[in-house]
Amino acid sequence: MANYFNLTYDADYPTGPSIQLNDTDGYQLVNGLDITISSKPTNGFTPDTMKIWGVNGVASEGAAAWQPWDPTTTGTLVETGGVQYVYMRARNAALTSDAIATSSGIEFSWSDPTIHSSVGWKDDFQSLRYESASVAVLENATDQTEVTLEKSNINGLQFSGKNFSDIIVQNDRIVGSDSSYIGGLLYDPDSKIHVKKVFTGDQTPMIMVDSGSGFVTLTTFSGAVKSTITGDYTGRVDNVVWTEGTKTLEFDIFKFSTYGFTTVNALEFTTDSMEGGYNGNPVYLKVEVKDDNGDTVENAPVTFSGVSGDNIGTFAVNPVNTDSSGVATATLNLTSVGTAVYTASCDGIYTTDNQTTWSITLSGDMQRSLIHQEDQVMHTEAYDDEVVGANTAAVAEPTTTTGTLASLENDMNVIRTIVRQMKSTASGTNWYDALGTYFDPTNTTSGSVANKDMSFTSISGSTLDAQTIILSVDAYNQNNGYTVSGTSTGVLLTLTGNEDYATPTNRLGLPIFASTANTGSYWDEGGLDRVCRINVYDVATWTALENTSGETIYAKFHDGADFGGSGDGVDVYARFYANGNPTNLTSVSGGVPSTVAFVYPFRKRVTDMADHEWHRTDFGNAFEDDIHFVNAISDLWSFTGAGNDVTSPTWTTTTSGYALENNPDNLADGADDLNDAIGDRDYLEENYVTDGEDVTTSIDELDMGLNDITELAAEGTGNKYITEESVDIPAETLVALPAGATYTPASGTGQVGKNMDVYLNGQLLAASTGVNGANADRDYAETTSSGITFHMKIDAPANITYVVRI
Amino acid sequence: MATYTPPEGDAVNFSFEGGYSAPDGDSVHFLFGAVAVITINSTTRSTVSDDEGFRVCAVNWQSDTAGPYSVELGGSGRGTGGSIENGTIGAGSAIDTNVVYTDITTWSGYSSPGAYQVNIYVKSEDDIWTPYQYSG
Repeated sequence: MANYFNLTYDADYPTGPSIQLNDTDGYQLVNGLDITISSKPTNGFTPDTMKIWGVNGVASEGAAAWQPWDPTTTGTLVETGGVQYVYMRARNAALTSDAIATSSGIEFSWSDPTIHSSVGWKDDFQSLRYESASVAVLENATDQTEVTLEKSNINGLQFSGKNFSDIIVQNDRIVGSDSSYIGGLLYDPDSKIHVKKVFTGDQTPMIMVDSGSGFVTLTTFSGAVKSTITGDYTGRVDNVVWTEGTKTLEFDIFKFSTYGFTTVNALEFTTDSMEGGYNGNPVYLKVEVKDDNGDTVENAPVTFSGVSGDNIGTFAVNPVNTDSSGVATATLNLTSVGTAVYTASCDGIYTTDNQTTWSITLSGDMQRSLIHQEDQVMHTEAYDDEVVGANTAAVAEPTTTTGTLASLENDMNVIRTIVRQMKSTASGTNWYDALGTYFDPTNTTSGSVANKDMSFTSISGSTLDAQTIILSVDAYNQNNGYTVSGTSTGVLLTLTGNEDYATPTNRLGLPIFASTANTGSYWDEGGLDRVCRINVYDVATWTALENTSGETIYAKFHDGADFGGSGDGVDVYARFYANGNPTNLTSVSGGVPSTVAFVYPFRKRVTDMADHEWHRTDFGNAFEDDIHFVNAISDLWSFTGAGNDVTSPTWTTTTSGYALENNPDNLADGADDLNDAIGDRDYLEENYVTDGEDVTTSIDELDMGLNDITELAAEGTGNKYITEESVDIPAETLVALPAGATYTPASGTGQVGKNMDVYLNGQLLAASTGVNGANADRDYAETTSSGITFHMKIDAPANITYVVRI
Repeated sequence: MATYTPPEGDAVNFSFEGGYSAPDGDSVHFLFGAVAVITINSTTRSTVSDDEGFRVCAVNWQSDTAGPYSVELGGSGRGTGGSIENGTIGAGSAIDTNVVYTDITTWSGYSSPGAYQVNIYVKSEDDIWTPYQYSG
């Protein structure tokens, strides 16, 4: 079967006279009695009146009456079987008749549609003129339900012979199949079925649908589609109207399934419904509403009311509608202290359990509760952080310190106020105003422009100038000056103090104007710091050099490594300049000097400054200089023993024989006396001491020499012990020295027995060689420091003599 | 995607619409989908005019699959002709569409009185519109 057909447009169609029924140009079988009649006279004939017969009970032309010409009119067929024809004749104003036009055959036929036993047609189709009916209503009288099928609402709807048996109405259910005849027509999203149902109960019904997964409530309490409906549940019903007086619910179904009805079934206070609050504040009571289906009910009016207890407050709004979650939230403004029990109801259903709510007085010690803190945070925006004055105890306190503006809010605003004070307490400033800028001490070439943000980050590490000071240092070459000539362009100065070149990091040390060997390493290359200029003086006159043009000749430090030196820490080159350009000494006014001296700047940390160095600075004020000068004098007094109004030193001992016996009246004479007393340290023989060595060394040498003599003398003396042996002493038996005597065994070559002599009956014995006489090659062995071992038997009685030296 | 069973044998001849030419070569892959089969049950007249009472032709038609439809005048495929009616139809549910003579006379392709082709297209579940002059 093709999906196309041809349709001809012909402005002259049809050729007249012509009559067509139901806009159809051929035979037709119709299921309704009402027909439309289209008429056209012969081309060129101007009709004024017309006759129509074969319809409306007019069987013949003779029975038909002339009527005004109408090209489109209606008629009613005879309710009978067989082919019928309709005729028309036109007549013009001159009463001239046109030829008769005869329609194509038309035949009426009707078959009752099939319906389910649960419903019946509200009107029989004969009274509806069969298919001519524009509307047919299926009803279930028992359930007071009507299902309206209207052709203007359902594209393609026909009744004759159609099957409507899938539409079932019973037990509060309306069932239809999506795949049925009517279900197919409803596939068009614009097609719909109207339902009207009268309820007997007192509650407001809501519509629910079961698409095979259980019922889902589609509508709110007020009839609108629930805002939470999504997916396949959307677009199913609409135009819901509930008439409370007649208890009638009407709505349109756009897609068939099983539809049912539900009502409010349960109310319950939610777990987050507030149990109480402070008198004067609101509390929020929440109730969730559900229907018979267990779904939450949206837009349902919930009325809150007190059951028992105290009258603690009033509801801001009552009743309150439920939201999309089915929860109604009532605001109870607490007006007095006490406890009350509340219930809530909707559509005649009350909460399962009541809610007990308390109202208490807001006391001072409760101000830090969570409830109050939330309130404080909320009010922080309105806090008045005006500061009355700086550096007072109250400066960090808010202007308002009572009620909800106390506690947490205070804490927050104290911080805020402190921040403001740190920045400025000037009128018109705020804690959040920008701090502004300040002069950057690390960028002295920027003039006096405040170029640094006043933040802790900026200040950190940028306070170099506050920690250091520039002092003047002279370079005088040990009072000899530096030899120069007219061609001298500078002088390479040896840094005896190992002064470092200043670097951009800390700028401590010598400012280096230029470096080729180590370019970029030093401060202040390029001469950014105008303070770092070196004065040059003629040693002969101690005046600054000046050229014949009247320009001062000064110097700048260059890297010594660029001028034959080693550079940083070793030497530095002082190069001559005049009027910003390098120069030599050819044109010095008054003649070329033979020697020059320099005074150059040197940056030190303040904490590293010696007292006397403060007098070298250009930055110390008189007060500070005095402090350091007095300190220096005080230190000098402590060092010398001098004091206020003390004109001569006082010596501890000036008695005869002491170096200071002459009681000198100054330190120089005292030092001379000491010098004389010590002598010239020139010795005649230098046996133990050496000319020119210090006294301590000489005494130490003498001390050691005397000790050596003492030991040698001791070796030549010794102690003598004698024993009388009455019992034989077996050979190789250790014999202890008498009286606990000890000696030092000796085993060196040629020195065995040197520290002790042993006599047997007056005859000197010989000690064996080897450590502790191990070789046993003579008379006895010096076995231990307290005993010896004879190598032969000693027969008693015997006399043994021991002479111990050391 | 619907199942297509090709005829038996090694050679299958395809014909294409809309000026489409299949590429050369042995390995050409075609994807097949179901299209809606449309049945035109009746038309009330074959000719319309501008005379009152003869201006409308009602076509009763149906589709074997549900989906969006488009009734167009002329053209050579869905979307190429003059639009007469668009909507959604259910499977097997016949509906009426009225074609008025002005649909013809106001169409951009109208030149003079005569026969004009009315095409009906339905988009299948495979998102394929009924081909032009498709007989199913």
